Amino acid sequence: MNAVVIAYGFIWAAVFGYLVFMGRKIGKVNAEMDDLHRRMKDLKP
Amino acid sequence: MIELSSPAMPPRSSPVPKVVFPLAILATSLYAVALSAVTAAPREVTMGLVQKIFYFHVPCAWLLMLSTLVCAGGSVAYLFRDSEKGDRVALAAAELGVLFGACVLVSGPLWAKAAWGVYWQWEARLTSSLLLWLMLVAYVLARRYGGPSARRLAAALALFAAVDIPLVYFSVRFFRTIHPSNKVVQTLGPGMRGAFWWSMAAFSVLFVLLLITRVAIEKAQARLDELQLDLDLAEEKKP
Repeated sequence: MNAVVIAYGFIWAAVFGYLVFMGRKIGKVNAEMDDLHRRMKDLKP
Repeated sequence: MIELSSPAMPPRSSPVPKVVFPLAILATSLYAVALSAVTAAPREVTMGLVQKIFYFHVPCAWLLMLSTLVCAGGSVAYLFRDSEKGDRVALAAAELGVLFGACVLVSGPLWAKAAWGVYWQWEARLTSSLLLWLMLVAYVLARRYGGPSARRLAAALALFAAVDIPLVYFSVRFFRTIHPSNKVVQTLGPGMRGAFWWSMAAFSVLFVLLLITRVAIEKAQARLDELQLDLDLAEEKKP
C-alpha cells in the first residue's frame, strides 16, 4: 500500500511542480510585458 | 527598430494559447475516469495492490520515449533548417522527458522492491532507461547553463538520445532481463485493460497540454527578448 501511495504521490507532485514552474515562467513573461509597455509609453514624445 | 505606432507592440494578453483550456478540462476528466478505473480494477493475483503502480508507470515510460522522439524531431528541424520553432519544441519536450522519466525511475523501483525484493537491478531495460533520462537531463542542463552556443550541441545530444529509444524498447526482447516483456499489456484482464488505456489517454493529453503551453511560453519569451533589444536601441537614440 505504501509503495502505491508513494509512487502515485511522487508522480502527482512532479506534475504539480512542473505546473508551478510554468506558472512562474508565465508570471515572468507577463511582468516583462508590463515593463515593456511602460517603457514604450515613456518613449512616446 | 520599434516604431511606437507599429503593430510590433505585443498585446497585453496571456502567452498561454486558448486551446490549452479545453485540453486542461479534457485531461482532468480523463484522469478522473482513469483513477476510478484504477480503483475499480481487480487486484493482480501474485503481486496484489502494488501492481496498480503499473497503470501510471507504463504511461510515464511511454511519455519518456515520446518526449525523446519529439525532442529529436525538433532538434533535426533546428540543426538542418535553423527552425526556431523546432528548437522551442525540442526544449519543451526534453523538459517533459526529464519530468516523466523521473516518474518512471521512481515508480519502477518501488514496484520492483515489492516484486523482485530489490529496488534496482543493473539489467538492460532499467539501465538503458536511466541512460536515456540522463541524456535528457544533460540536454536541459546544457540549455539552461550553456548559453546560446550550447543550442546546437544540445540538439546533437538529442539525436544521440533518440538512438537509445529502440534499445530501451527492445531490451526486454534482446537481452536476458527480469523486467516484464512488452506484451504484458495484451495479457491484462478486461478490468485491468480499461484502467490502463484510460491512464494512457489521460497522460497523453497531459503531455500535449504541457508541451503546447511550454512552447508558447518560450515563444513569448523569445519575442519579448527581441522587443526589449529594439527598445534598448530606441531609448539610446532618444534625444
